[in-house]
Parts: sequence; structure tokens; C-alpha cells
Amino acid sequence: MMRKSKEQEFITAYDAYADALFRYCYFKVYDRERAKELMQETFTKAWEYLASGKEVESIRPFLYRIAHNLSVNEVVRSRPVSLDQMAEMMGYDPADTKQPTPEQESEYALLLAKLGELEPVDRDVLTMRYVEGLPVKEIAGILQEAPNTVSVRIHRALKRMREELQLP
Amino acid sequence: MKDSLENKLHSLQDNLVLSEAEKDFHRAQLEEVMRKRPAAQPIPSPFISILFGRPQMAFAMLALAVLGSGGVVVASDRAVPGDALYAIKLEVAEPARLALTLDAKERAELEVTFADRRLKEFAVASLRNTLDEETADDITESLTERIAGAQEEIKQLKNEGESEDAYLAHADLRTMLLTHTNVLQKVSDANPNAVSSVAEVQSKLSVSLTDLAGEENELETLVAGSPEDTDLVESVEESRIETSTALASLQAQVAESETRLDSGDQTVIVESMAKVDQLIRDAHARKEEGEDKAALQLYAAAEEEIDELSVLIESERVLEIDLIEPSAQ
Repeated sequence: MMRKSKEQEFITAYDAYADALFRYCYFKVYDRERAKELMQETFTKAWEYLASGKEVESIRPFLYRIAHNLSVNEVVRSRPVSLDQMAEMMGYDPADTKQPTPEQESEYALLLAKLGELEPVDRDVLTMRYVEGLPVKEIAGILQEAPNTVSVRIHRALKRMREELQLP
Repeated sequence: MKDSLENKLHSLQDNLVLSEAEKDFHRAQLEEVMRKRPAAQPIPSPFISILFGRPQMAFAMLALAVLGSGGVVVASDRAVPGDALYAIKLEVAEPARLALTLDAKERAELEVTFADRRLKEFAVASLRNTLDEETADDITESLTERIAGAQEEIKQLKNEGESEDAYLAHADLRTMLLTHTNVLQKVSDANPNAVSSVAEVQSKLSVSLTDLAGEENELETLVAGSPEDTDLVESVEESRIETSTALASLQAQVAESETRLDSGDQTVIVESMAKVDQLIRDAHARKEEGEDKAALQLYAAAEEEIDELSVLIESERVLEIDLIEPSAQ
């Protein structure tokens, strides 16, 4: 039944991309709860669009674009967030036995804090490229920029992060 | 810090995640949304037709009952002219789906979607010389019904005092018809055998566009005179989300089509996207300033631009003729 398969396909897409979309939204707002709401809204809007009979050739960039557009009016928390709060916002699964050590936790929190200091578009390209592993071409499609521009942004943002974290 | 920065960043993938409980919770919420708005309406109890008392509903129930579980009807959704299931799509599946849609705004959207399908199907078959007389008649009959249906829904929305929704549906229909008029002209130019059949459809579109032009001022006046109430605020917010979603779809479509588009197409698309971007920014600004009516018109203008470009890119892909030109924008 085509109807069932369309719905199943969408749930499969949710299972495949919910975490990635959550992270994408998280890097937009730096607020775990708001990021979850934006992720939920992204999938809801995508479904409403598909359910109206319209077609989408490729679901992943479509979802990223909705998330991007939904978060366009969001304001990143400007108040300082401590590393402890940052670690808390990452929200480890209590059922997960591979909990990070306190050292690792602090390192991740520092990484998040430094990412938060980047220009939003630089943070976008860096997280999509290295956290999610998206190809430059797909990132360029999502952001509507030329692949060369995206590559330059990635290079520049990496350089700045290395300087901030005093990495070679 | 032993690892490279790239590896450290990648490690966030495993450490910034939803818990299983959070994922399950949001999946359940999504499934609830999908249950309330399925892609193709499920077969409701026959009692619903009695409750609502609509003859179209009774027709839909009968049609679905005759065709068993509805699988054939659903499967016909992708049928094209020449396929065995094409007649079922035109005469049963789409009318049944319309009859089962209770909201006038959603019905208006569906009517426009189905009319858009007819015009795309007609353009492809005309260009490839695969349109026999009987199928051409079926398509034009269905097209006439769908356009009339959309106009009827717009009228109903207007009569119910939903002037903002009527205005937006009117803009959708007008843009779609206008864009296809231009696409069909290209088809006619490319295939001399299709000149007369295309001209016939274009004349139908021209009559509908004239009707729509006559209603445009009235709808603009109605929106301008409508009260600044919560309905208006909701319409603007819905319009913001719809425009945003349509833009996301277009951007994904452009990314997918990149290799097929020549440099001239890409220039036009970039310019058009910049225009859309500016319209959306202006709309956001007006919305923030509380000028909801101005925001609504700007979102509508952005969506018209998006719809036009989307139809052109899709038609260019299917028809394989150059449709995206500066003059068409």
C-alpha cells in the first residue's frame, strides 16, 4: 500500500535524522528544550507539506532547510553559559553505559562554548561538515551558497577554532 | 587534547543526542500528527457520510467500497496519461480525496495541486505526441473541473469571512495558471503538432485568469478591511510557515537539479531566490512591527515567486526544454 509506505518512509526518515536535526537546531539556539521543539516542528511541517500531495526529491536537505528557516527568528542565548550548564545541556542518556568521563565532559562543553562564539553561518558549515559528516556539495545546497564559498568558510572557521582551543 | 579538532567535532555526534525516551516521545507526537493528517485519507465509517450529509462524500464512500480497500485508488496516484489507472486517478481517486477533505482551505490547496498535475501531464504528453483525442478530452475536462473547484472554494472561504485564506488561495491559483500558460507556449513552439491542442487549453486558462483578475481587487479590499484580530495573526503565522516550507522544498529542488541547470538558469534562479529572500525579510520585519496585513501580502508575493520557479524547474526537468528565462521571471 503506497499510503502506508509513504508514512513508514517518513518515520524511517525521522529515526534516521531526528538526532542530526536536533543537533542542527541546538547549534542555532543553544537551548536543549527549544532545540527539541524546533526539531519536532521541522518534522511536523515537512509531513504537512508531503501530506498535501506535494513531492520532495530528497528528504534530508529539505528537512535541514525547514529547520534553518524555522530558526531564522530564533535568538541565540546571549547570556553567558557556564561549562557545567553546557555539559548538562548535552543531556546524556541515563541508559547509555558509554557515559563520558568528567574530563571528556568538560572538553565537549568547551568545544560547544567555542562553537557558540563563531558566526552563525561558520558554525553551520563546521557542524554540518564535521559533526554530521555532510559533503560540502550538500551543505552548499542547503545553505544556497557556492561549494567554494562553503569550503572557504570551513577552512576559516577551523583555523579560528584551533587558535581558540590552542590546537596545532 | 590528543585528537584532531575534526575528530573532536565528530565526537559531538555521539555525545549531543536525544535520549531514547525523548526520541520515542517526539516520534509519538509525530505519529499523532500523521494520524490526524494522513497522506491519503483513510476510509472512514459510512456513518460519517450520514453525519456530514454531503453527496460528494457518499460518492467517495461508494467509490472506495467498490474498489475494495482503496489500494487501487491509492496506486493510481502516480498514473500518467496512457496508463491503465489514469482514468481512475481522474474520475475516482482525486474526486474522492477532495470529497473526504472537510476543510475549505485544504480543499482549495488540493484543487490547485490537481490542476497543476493536469497541466504538467498535458504538457509532457503534448510535447511527446502521446496525447490521443480521448485522453486530451479527459485531461481538459478534469482541468476545467479542478479550476472551477478551486474558484468555488475561494468563493466559499470569502463568504465564510476567511478573506485572508481566500486571498492566499487565489494567489496560488493565479500563479500556477500564469506559469503554465508560459510553459505551454514553449511546448507549442517546440512541437508544431501540438499547436492547436495547446491553444485550446491556453484559451481555457486565459478565461480563468480573466475571472481571477476580476476578483483580485475585491479580495485585496476585503483583506485590507478585515479586523486586526487573532484570526489575522494566525493567518500570518501560518503563511510564514508555509512560505518557509515552500522555500525549503524549492531549495532542495534546486540542489537536486543543479547538474541539469545551465548557467543562464542558475543566474535567473539566484536572482529569483534573492528576491524571495528579500520579500521574506521584509515580511518578517512587518510582522515584527505588528503590520500583519502588509506581512501577509509580502509572504503571499514570496510564495508566488517560489511556486513559479518550482513549476518551471520541474517542467524543465520533465520536458527537457529551456523554460527558465529572465523574461519569464
